[in-house]
Amino acid sequence: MKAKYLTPFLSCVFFLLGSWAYADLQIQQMAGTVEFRAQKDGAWQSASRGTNIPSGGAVRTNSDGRVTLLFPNRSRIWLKESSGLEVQEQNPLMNKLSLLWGSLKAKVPHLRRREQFQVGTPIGVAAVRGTEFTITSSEKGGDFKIHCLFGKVNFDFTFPSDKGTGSETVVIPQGMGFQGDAHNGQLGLLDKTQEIEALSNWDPGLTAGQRFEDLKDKEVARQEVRQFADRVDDAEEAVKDVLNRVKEEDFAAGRTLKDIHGNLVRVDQRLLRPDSSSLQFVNLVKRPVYDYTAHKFAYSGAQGGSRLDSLQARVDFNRALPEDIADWPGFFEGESVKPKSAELIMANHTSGASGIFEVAYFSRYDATSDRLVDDDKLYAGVVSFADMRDKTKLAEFTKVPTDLRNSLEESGKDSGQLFSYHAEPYLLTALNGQAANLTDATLNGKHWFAQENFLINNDGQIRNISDFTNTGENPFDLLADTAGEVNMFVKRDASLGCASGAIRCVFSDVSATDTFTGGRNIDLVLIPDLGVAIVQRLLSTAQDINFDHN
Amino acid sequence: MRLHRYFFLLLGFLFFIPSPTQATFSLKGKLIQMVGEILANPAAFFYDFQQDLEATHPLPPGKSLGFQINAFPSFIPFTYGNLSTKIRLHPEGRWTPGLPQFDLIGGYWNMVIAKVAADSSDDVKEANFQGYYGGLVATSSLEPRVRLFWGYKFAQLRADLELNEAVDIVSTPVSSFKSGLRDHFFFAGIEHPTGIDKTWILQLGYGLQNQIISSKVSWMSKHWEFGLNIYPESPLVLHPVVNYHLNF
Repeated sequence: MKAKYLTPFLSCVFFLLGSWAYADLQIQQMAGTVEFRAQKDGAWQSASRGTNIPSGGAVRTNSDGRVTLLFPNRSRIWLKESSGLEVQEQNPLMNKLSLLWGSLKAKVPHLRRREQFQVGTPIGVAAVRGTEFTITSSEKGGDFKIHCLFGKVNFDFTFPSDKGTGSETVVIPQGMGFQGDAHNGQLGLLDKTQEIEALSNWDPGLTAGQRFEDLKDKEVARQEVRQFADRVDDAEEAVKDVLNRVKEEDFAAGRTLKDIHGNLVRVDQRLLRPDSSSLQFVNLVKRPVYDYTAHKFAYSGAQGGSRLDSLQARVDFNRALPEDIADWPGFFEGESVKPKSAELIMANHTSGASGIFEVAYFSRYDATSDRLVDDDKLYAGVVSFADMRDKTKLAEFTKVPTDLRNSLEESGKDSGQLFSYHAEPYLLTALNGQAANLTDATLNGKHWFAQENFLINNDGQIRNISDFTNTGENPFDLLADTAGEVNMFVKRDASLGCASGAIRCVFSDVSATDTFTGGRNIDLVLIPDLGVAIVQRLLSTAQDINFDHN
Repeated sequence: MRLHRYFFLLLGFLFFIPSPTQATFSLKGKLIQMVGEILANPAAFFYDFQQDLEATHPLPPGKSLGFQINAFPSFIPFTYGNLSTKIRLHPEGRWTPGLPQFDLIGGYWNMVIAKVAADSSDDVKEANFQGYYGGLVATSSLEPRVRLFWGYKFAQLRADLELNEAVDIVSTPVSSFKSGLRDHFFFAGIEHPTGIDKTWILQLGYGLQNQIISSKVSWMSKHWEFGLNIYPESPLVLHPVVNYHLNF
């Protein structure tokens, strides 16, 4: 380097070094009343931003004042209200302060090898390197608190002892606090309040709310993470709930289509387990508008309004069913599993909960014949929802004795149309409180249980056998476009005398008059979707099924 | 009336499908299965005990050097003579605010009894069980009382055994195995002091090559660590752990 440049260069270097070496502590920010003195015995003067506090000087705040002090080594001190700080020594290798009274917060970066930073109180000296901490001390060294936020504080605690004065170095790691009085101190974990107070923003001129803004933002972020975790949890629970519901219901299916009359219909099916040893199939048929198109039997009930029909089939077994449906086949194969009872209830709920028109079969297990028997009885009536499963509340109808029976049947088989009309004769054998609902309450009077059965597509058109035999359509797709509709009536007998075996009954023997008041029918739409779902579920576990049975 | 019979037949349809077989729990079977898993991959089994002695959590704030010895289960009963070391390279925030604490970690172990058996036993021709690991841990303070750490380690293990005569283990003649494991791991955890010289540590780790999953829950005091290590894919899933450490 040429000599003519060397001298100015070195001068600049020494000037800068000198400037840095003798740089004082400076007031960086302040608010309210802040005073300083340049010497230990000097007078207090008003301070302002940029005021230098030399070694030996001090700074104090009034009850409305706060100040931030910046050191040449980038350490920062915040003084709270009603606090006083003395700069005992301040040079490049030693920063020695004394908290006369009040509270301060210090953020000290990592220091050079021989550099020291100490903050003294009347009862001890805290030495730090790379630390953020707070100290609170009363003027006469009574109560004190040191809270270490980050890093470590070595506190030389001086206390009176039998030999005069004792001293102990207490290491305060981050997250810990040391507090006590002139005689003893206690090390402990910072509690949440202490941590929040120490972490808050101590800058001068902020309102109480502004001091905690950063912490609030962090807390909001934490809350968002917790909420996200909760949402993930909720989603998992919802999935589990669905799985559980699927397990509880085992299967559910639903479809919207048109019925034979052209009405829009929503069909919902469930396979449920009311208890551990029972199975229940429920089929709900909902129509927003019910209009009736006559086929074989007369309908004189309400039209134009909404309508709900249902079918429930329930079987109670003598043992608890396995949890997993895949285990059912093996369970039912066992000799010890027997059905205890079964019931089939078909109902029209349109008149409300107290006026449900119902037709039901109740079967019981007969050990002699090892099967379910219904004693050839049918139950029907108008009941409340609570009484639907109580056959003692329904009128009892018994099938006409075999030698006198003349069931009626008509179908579209000749044309390949998949429909049929069917009527079965019954005798009214018990009223069971249904007399008021009957148009003819004569015991042993003859009545007909009449049905119109249709196999339809989703547009309500009657299926033809050729739809199934002459098709390249996927069978599952075909089933998804197929439904069964059963329209049921309980009709009076036209009293044309076909009870005698010599004369066959004909459909005109089925009166147009309903047995029950109100012109009621039960119009059910049944879909194969649930059965398909069961088959598909079982097929998916087919690899676990052992077909080699000996 | 046919309708009601249709539904009973629908349910009855289920009667005719044959049943799947049922399995019952057998302790003996489980033990045989575990022995089989160990014989199939002995290195992985011995590595679980190496993981028990590995010190993958950071040095406490203010400490710059640490040593750790595993007392259980690596030393007792498997006689892994072991020593782990931690050196702080950079304290948190030193070079610039926000820069994490960096610790260099590493350790070595050697199965004492294997050496003794090879030297003094006529049945054991050669036995060599040893391993080491090394890595780096970074730690940042989320809050004064919560620190998050994460890191990388490389671990290697050798498990060689040669017997003069085959030994029958669960009907399987075993005369020797030469096995080793080498993997790169990433791990992360959280540290939370609960009192003076008391800290809870939770950490998870994953080995990239062998897809080894591990998790550790530890309670640390000034010199002792009591923990539970969980290795989901191992024959012994749960390892209670006792470590002794000195930090300076």
